Amino acid sequence: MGRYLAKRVVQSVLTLGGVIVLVFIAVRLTGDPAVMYLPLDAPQELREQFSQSRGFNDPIPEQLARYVGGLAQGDFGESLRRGEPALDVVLRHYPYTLLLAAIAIGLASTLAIVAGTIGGSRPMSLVDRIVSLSSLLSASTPDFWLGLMLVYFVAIVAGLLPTSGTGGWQYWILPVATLMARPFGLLTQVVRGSMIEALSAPYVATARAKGVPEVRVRYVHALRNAVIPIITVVGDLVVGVINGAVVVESIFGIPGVGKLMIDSINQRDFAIVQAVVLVTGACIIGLNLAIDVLYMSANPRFRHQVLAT
Amino acid sequence: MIANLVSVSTALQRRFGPFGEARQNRLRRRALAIGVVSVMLASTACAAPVTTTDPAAIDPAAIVIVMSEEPDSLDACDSSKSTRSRILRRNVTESLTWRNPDTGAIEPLLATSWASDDSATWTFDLRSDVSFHNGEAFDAAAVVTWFERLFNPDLACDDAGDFFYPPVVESVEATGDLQVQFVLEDPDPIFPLRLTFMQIGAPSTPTDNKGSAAIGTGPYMISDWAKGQHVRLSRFDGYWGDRPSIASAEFQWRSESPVRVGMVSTGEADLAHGIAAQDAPTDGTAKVFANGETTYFRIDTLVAPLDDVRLRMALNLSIDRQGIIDSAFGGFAEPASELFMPTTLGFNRDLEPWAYDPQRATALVSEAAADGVDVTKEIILYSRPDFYPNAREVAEILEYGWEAIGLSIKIEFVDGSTWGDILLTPHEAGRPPNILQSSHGNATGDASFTLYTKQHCEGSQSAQCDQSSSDLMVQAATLADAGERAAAFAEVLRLQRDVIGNVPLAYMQGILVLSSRLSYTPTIQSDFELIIANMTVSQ
Repeated sequence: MGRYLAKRVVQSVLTLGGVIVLVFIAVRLTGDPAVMYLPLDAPQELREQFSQSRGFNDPIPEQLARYVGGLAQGDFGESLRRGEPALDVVLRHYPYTLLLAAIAIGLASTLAIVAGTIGGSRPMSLVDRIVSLSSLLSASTPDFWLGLMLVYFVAIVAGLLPTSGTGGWQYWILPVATLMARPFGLLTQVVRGSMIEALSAPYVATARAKGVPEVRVRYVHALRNAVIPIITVVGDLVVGVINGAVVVESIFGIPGVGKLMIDSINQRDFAIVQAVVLVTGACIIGLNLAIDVLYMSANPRFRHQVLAT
Repeated sequence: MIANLVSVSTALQRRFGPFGEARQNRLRRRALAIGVVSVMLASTACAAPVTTTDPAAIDPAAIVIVMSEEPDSLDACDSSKSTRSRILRRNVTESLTWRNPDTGAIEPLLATSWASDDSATWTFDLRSDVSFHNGEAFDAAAVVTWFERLFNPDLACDDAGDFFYPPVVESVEATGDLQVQFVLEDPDPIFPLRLTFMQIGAPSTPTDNKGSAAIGTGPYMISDWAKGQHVRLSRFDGYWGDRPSIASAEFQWRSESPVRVGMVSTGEADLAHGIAAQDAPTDGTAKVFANGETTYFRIDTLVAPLDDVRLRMALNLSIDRQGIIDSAFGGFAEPASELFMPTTLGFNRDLEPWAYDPQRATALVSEAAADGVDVTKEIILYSRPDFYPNAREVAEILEYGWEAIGLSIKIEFVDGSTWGDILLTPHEAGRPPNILQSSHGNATGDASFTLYTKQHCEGSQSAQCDQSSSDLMVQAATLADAGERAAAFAEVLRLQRDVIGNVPLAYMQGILVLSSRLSYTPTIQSDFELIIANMTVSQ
């Protein structure tokens, strides 16, 4: 297993290297940072001077070599707009997005497993129809609309929670509810499908024939096997939630990395864009490795296949 | 983390009793996963700073102002962008001169008086009773140090780029302890007006970077800047002027207009800035004000078929400006005839907004087609949907109107950076015929801030060239007499009416929402200047 993980780590580092080069080149194709940095009334000669002094006119391979050299020394570059190290800016924003994503995915997974298991245990029953309908609605509701509706009805009309901002636990309820809606809907559908399939498997019939209590059949025998595809889907959703948190961050005024990324792309703040991609890439690679470990833990067949190679 | 794992494992053993090796391994793996997730959650929770305004604990002597966008810099030399200037100008920092928004007059602020014989050499006498928030003295040496920093090309200060190229300042010298002299390369009669935009920061401000928060001479100082969350200002006890009534103000930002309005209605904020017409409450808390902003569309007159003036006239005649104002701007605007408002020196009152005459527009297009102009050539309408509320809808209305008179229009939506590339010279060779959605703010009171960059042959945002009006606008900018200057610029506008390089749309109005306890009267400058000293809170 150690060898497998080492191989995956090497693959991941190579992928990250490729991503760095691609992003480095791609952001420079978007245009001259001087256009966004200097006032619109600034003359062309000032723009030229600005780009020249900051090395944006140098050949891209030369700029890339300079950047990689800096990375090797832990220097991610300096934010053009903010005048501070890019890594500091990114690490200041990341905790918000991670916390938001972790709570949203954690709650969505837990509730989806409960709802999906209940629905999948009684296919086509009234409960199952309610679960299916609510999960479909949840998965297909646009998050920007849901967020604004929650602000209006829960915060403004009912006055139960603050509209936005960061602070105590009450500030997180509406953003988390908005962000978890889609993963909850999708996961519930997956859990429900997996449970229906697992409960129709021969080993479940055997367990029932042996007199195993129904609760144990469902929540131990069937659910354990149904959880394997859920882990895969959760992994994908975590990445989607981190990337998609920008809408929630914008509505609720959360200083997360999603909004930072969008603003930096719009402002052509290359150092920040590169740092966000690098840190996000490293996080996603780490997450995928963690999912691999979890997957091996939950699926002996996969573990044996890996160990045999 | 190890402690977490041990505790989880012990708890599992307590729950399930002693178990075999295989089961123990399985549970250990699960415990590991749970531990990893717990540590992630705990670390992220610990890492997230917990600071905000609790509505229940609002201090009557403190106010909260919510804006749409966070300032990316609070350096005093970067104050020309409105997200920064609303916090800094007249709150934290001050300039040598100040423009009274009610009268348009240039009044003393940090300078007590000024004089020039030739409009090229300007001498300013300074106040003697002023100090910066950090205790440094405000004097001629401080002003010289600041302007040397402002003009440092490596720093690329916004204020310098916005207002000083041209004119070029050849030198800034202290001619006394409290007297400073500016020598300009060319005469500039409106130099005192130009200085209203130059905020003065403390001499000890770092000269090699722009990351620090401004230290100024204003009635408030920056007491807390939690990046990403808020900027808090506190009253400066050593202020030279009148003591403002509000003790502190916190600036926050939310990108969604309805959320900003909601913050005021729930008591989380006292002033919400930049509210869209459809979100403005009708209970009297919304304050509407002319904000000096004009929405318009720039025509690229240098590319066929838009190099034919008949088509450009047709573009203007086919627009129902009042209809667009009513439908897209909620009625909060006035039809525009130029790119700046009638309050600006140089405005030509003889020129009315273009009439809505689609029949004549259609006839002009047909006439051009009969003369061999390729009116079927596709014209790109570059729209920037984030420019102002309902900008996308406005572009779509225009596309429909222009298609209806026989032109071939295709909308392309662009972001701010792409928009900047299209706007600025040098323009790409071989570009398609195009029209660019835009908006321009000129609350400065002088036409020169608009005309040269947008309508001069060599203007950085110009897509037209009419030599006679270009020459005249340069000449007009050198005139010191206000009457002569106004007449010359008005003549430029008359000549430009034949050029038709733009489609002026509307003089916009800004909307603020105030809490019931806050009193404030917005001015034409309130889009980039929110003077807290002009606000009062009822207890």
